[in-house]
Amino acid sequence: MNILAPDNVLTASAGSRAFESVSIWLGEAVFGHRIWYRQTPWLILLEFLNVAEAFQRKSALLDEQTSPSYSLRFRMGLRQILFNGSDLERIASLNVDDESRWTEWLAQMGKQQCIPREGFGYLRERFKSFSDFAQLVRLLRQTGIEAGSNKRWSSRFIFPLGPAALFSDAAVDKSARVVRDYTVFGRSGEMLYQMLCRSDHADELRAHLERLLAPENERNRLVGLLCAPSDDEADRREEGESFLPYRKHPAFDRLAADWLKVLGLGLPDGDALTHLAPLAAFHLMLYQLETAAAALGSDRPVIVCEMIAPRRELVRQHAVNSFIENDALIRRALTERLMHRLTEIRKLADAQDATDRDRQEFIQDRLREEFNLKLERVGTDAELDLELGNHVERKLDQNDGLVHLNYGRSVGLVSRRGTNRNRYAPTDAFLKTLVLVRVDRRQELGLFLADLREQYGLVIGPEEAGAVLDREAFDLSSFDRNRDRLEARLASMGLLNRLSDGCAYVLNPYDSSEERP
Amino acid sequence: MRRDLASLSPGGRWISFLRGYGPVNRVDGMYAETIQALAGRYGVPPLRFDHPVAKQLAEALDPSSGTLCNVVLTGTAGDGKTSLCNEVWERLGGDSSRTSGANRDDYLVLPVEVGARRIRVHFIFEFSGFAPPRGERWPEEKLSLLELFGKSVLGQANDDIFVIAANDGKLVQAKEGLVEGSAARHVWRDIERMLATGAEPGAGRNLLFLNLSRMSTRDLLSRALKCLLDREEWQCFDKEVDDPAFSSGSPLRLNHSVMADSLFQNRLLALAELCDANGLHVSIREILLLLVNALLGDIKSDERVLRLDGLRALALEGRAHEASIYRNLFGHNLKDNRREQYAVFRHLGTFRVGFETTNVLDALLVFGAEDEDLRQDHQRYVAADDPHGVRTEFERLRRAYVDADEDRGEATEFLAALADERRRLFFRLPDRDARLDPWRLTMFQSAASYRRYILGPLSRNEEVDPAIIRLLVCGLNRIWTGMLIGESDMLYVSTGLDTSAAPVSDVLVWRIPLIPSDFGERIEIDRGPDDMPLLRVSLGIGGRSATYPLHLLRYEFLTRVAEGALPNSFSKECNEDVLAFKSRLLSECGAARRLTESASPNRRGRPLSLLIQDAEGEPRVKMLGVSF
Repeated sequence: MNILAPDNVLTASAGSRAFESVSIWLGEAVFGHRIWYRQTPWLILLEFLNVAEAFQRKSALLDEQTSPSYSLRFRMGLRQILFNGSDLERIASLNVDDESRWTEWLAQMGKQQCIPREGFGYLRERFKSFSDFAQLVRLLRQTGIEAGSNKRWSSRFIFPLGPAALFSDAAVDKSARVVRDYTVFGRSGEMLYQMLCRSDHADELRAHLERLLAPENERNRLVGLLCAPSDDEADRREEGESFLPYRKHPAFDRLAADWLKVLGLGLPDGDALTHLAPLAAFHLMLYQLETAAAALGSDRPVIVCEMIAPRRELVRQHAVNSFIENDALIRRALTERLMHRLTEIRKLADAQDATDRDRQEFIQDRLREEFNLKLERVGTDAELDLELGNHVERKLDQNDGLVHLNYGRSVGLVSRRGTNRNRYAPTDAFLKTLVLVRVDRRQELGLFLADLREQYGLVIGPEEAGAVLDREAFDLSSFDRNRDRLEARLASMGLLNRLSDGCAYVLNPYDSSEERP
Repeated sequence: MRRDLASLSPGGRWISFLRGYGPVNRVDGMYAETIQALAGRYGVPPLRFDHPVAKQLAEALDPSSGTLCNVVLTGTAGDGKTSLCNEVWERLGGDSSRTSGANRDDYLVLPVEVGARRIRVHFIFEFSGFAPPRGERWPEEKLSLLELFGKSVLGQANDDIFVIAANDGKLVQAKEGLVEGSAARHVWRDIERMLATGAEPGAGRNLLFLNLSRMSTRDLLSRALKCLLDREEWQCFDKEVDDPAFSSGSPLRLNHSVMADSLFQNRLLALAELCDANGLHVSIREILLLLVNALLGDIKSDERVLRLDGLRALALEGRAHEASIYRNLFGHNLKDNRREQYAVFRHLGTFRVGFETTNVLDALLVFGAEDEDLRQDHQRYVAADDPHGVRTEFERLRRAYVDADEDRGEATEFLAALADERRRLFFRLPDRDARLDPWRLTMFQSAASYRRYILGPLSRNEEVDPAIIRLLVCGLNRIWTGMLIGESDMLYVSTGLDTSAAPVSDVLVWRIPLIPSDFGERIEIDRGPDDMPLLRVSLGIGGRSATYPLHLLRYEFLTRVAEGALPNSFSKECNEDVLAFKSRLLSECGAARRLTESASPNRRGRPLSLLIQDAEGEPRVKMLGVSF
């Protein structure tokens, strides 16, 4: 499909919330507002689940809407207990009666800022003993997301065990008020939500998400024991500042299909999420690359993957080149868009036969209208070209140019291991996720490789390399060895069975739709 | 050349012919022809033994039985697919052009009288040549031939029968080109399932599917050994004893006598059996290569395989030990990259014989002759194996090593010689002396117990000793919980609150007692498809259970963890693999739980139970005063 067809492209009009909240509306117009480069796969998933839960509450889960508004929860009661009460362990180990423990702990917690207005007294009614309470807190703390990172308590999260474990990013401001924190939930999760809404699989996904978000889930009930009654108030309102420019996009459907596959495998819920998170970031990254390529009229991007080799192999150079080429797509797409419009605007200005000053004002106005670009003055054409070029660079450095690298690395696709240059070199965990989503029970290795190319543009074996690379420019045998290394790695993970020298099957051990021996 | 041939003695012709089976250069894809040519040139019949599937094949294609059955022969290159086809061709009345190699067509038809009917038997001798190259479309006439095959298998075309020899990879790829909904496509789905799972053809199918990759390597090796050693050409050792190549000082004679030794054969067969137990198959061609290389390998020869003059030279110079069978057997006479080309050496290499050892066994080799306690064993297992015994060369290196100063450098030469000695010792040690367990010289230290307590009882249809299951359960408990818990009468299925692979999984989901309960909860080891041992955990509710094929590698991993090894330090892959089993079992637990809950819908929650360790390290279950 042509994603750029006029009836498929949405535009954010000047004056809309999203448009006004951004200093230059450029990458946002092409990719949306916004895919935030600093958001890790888990934080993308958490933001997504928060948004999904908010719509579930409105009985509108995955219903398509162009300007969604919704409300999240801060759940300060739960978070105080989990992340701001460091004395819990000490009090639990005191050699005193239960009553004294509760008294001391409640007294300590009462001194904290931003606690629920009803206090923490509710906990005493819910737990038979203080040690049961402490044990549960300990268990939940073990599930911390990115627990290793040294974040302040209001930016820490637990594993999404159910709606009771979901809460918005937060910061405590100078006047001890809880406000949202844009650096943690940067709207990538919102984009993800909208993409799934617009995908062909929204209806099938809805049932799965409803199951994940069901309040009566066992693990959710456990978390719920800690939540204050006022934690359930949806106290963070969002008026819909996100923006996704395409009604339909093949990347949306592929993302949804992959999620659907994971959710249909019958994995324990928590295990399924460990695949959904990297898939989300991976597809957001692919979406950005593919959209950039489409905007430039280029073919779908090719992602040549090196299966890390002990020695320097020719494949590595191809993987480095392919990374660099794809990285440049984003810059080219943004530059092209701005400069193309500028040329059009100049033509319009010239057609008016106005004075230099009027012409500059015209250009200035149009740039403000179309890009929310507020220029002090517009100088000569050369000066303006230079200035706009700088703006593009700044946009790239601030966010748009960093998504490909950051998301690629965080999902385990991009690596610098063994070199000083980034290239595509997937990790075992990433390969495993690909097998889980693409293989029904088992698939012949050659067909698996062909499918990875068809589905994601990933190039690993000689057949695929031969189809996309210049025959003169590469050595087929190095891709033979690349495929052999993939095979060895899959086999070591129990994901491949070689039947003979001529035949190997990639196995999905989690797909039990047919009994395996 | 002709004059050379004429001057060769029978023994000389035999050895020159035999060499052709070794790891020497030959034209790819021309193996059978090369051997035929050599046989013709030297006047020696090829090595032959009854193919394990020959009988089944003959029965399927016996016109006197009144019916014929379609046959698909598939498997690894070198397992005899094409030869078997050629033999059938001749037996059913075809001419000798196939076996002689004169006719090399991929496809031929032979009319066969079966009772009063005339049946057309279609032979696809080489499916790889018959099928179009990958990515290209099938020509119409071949497509309709495959459709006819499909119909014949489904019982819809009774006048045509097919015999197809196919490389399994090519067979799988062919499916893509077949029309959706056609009989051929239908049959191909069956074929793919049989290939991948070892299943039999479904009911109502007129098809014998023979996957030669699933033949037992041990069985093939046993047949090959007998066939090779029984050849009358070995009379050369008596009749041509004046030729140094066949004299008592010849490396060939030494290696031959080792190969004929039953202790050696049994150990070698045990290695093959364990290859089978790790799911590794070796083709007939490579088994013959293994044996011939073992006899004739030599690191200093042209192509690393001895010829007559090389044999003579080594014999005359008293250097027979340089072509030692113990080194050759693992392909260490070959260059690394050459050795790696052969599955047989890759598979044997996984045992790491020569690189693994214990203090006792190394002491036996290095100090055994002088050590009061070890002297007797040294005499028996090391020195008595003359003239491989305490050889002057090893003795010289050993002396230099033992007497050297602190700064003796890397002693590379000595260590290489020591590795060879370990390989020799591996074949010399007795079966049931725990102190001198030969399997301690391999990567699979549990191999002796695996053979004795798992493979042995299962082959006799006996139950596996509960003590062994208890040991394996201890390994599983440690890996699954992330805690170093001691042996227990329970298998604990636990998870993290977040994911099932959480480093500490202390939320208890299910307990299965080692002693089978009246409700069908049990942990047992039985035989799965391919005779692979299968660990089965049954939950006793709704027949829910999960199985885990117990390869040697998995057994090794679980027992090592039970004995104190840290799961991740032994092998990250094995650890992942065992966790995947837990994940499957957890899914079963979830299904079983849903069954019980649907039976009592009003039950309100279930107490959260944590698995903890008491002061002795024993697992204990602590119920929290909170419910799910």
